[in-house]
Amino acid sequence: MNHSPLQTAILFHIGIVPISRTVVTTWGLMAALTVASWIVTRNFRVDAGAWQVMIESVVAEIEEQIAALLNCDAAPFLPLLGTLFIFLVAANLCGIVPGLTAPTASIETPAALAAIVFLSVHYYGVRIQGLGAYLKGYLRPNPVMLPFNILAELTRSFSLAMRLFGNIMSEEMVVAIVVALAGLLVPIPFMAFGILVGLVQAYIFSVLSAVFIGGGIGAIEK
Amino acid sequence: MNFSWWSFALQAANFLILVWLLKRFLFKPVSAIVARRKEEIARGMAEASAEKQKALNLQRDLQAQWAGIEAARQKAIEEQGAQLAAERVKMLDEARAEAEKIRDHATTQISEERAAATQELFSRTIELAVNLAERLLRGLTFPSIEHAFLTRVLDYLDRLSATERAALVSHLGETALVVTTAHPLDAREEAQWREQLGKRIGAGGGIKFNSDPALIAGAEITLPSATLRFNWRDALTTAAREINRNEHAG
Repeated sequence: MNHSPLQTAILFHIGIVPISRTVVTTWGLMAALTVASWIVTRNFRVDAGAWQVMIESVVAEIEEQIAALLNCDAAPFLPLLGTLFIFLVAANLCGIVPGLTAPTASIETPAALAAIVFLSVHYYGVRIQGLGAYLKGYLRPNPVMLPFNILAELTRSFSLAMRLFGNIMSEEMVVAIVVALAGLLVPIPFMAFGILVGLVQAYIFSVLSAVFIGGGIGAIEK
Repeated sequence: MNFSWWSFALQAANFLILVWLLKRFLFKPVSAIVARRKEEIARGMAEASAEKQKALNLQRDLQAQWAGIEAARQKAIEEQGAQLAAERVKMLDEARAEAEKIRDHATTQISEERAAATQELFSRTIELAVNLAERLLRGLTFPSIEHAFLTRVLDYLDRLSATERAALVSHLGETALVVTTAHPLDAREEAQWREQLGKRIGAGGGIKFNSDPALIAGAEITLPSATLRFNWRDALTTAAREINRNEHAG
């Protein structure tokens, strides 16, 4: 790590658009996940092999978790929340690969994900409950609570982004500092701990996103 | 720390694109294969259920067939039993009738044999009696007794009507009159017979005399149209015949 994690490293520009290291890493992750998915699923059979069973089990577990959180059919939410979890796992863990920086260690990525979750809450809420019923939700339990509900919507999305960013960024900074101070082998426990943190943060971000969406569609009390 | 809105926007776009890509290349194939497997499992369950139902139907049909076979078997056994019972009764009746017939036949045969034996015994008794009487009479006879029988012959001829006597002597000229006696007659006796017979039937010249000890006593006069028997053998034979006839009639 030869730059500050609090700064966005620009690698090149496309026109006026600056392309940062985070974006390039994300593209690489997108390509890897897409190609891996295509390779794994292209030969799916009814009598599944070991790899297929593992993939199906992961997807089925994600779907079951979503269904358990939302108390409804998980199929409409699986692409968003499933992709969110898988991407966060990949993004959080890619920081342990030498030369790579976790995209979630840059504030833009958690902020973008939190913004998408924020918009998804309203999108699914309006789509499933209807606009009137959804907006009435902000007046519960009392119309006086309307400003607080709106504030809660904003702050929880902000906290969602900051939690992920803070954990991943701090973990990467700790590993970088330890590597700089103690050499090659000492950071390994911290890196293992970083794996745990990355998985936990991915899980927390995904679960909280599901809970927010569940609150938006009325399946969960806000 | 700075915040790049370009990076923010690109990351948001990247994530949305990734959502589409994973939906296209991961979630849809997994959902499709899971759905297909569920469909195949459901189809397998349905087929298994159908096979089970078919097996149950087959089992029910077989049970019904078995019940039918059992009923038919029972019916056949009952019919066979009834037929055998009827056959047994029929055979018993036939055997009984046959036994009755055999018994009747045996009874009849025994009765007939007994009657025949009785008859035989009776006949033997009669024969024995006749023989005894013959032996006794043969002991009582003497040559001059023929004269007494001549008297009886003459009495008989005297009682005949003219018509009967004419019929008796018809054809007498063609054949000789034969007088057979138990004892040979001497010349005087033959003359006496010839004379008396000549007076009654006109055959004084054409009479032949024979003797036959079997007659015991008496004579037998043979005419062309009849034979007059006046002797004890004839009397005994007639008596035996009469006794037999009376026995049969009784």
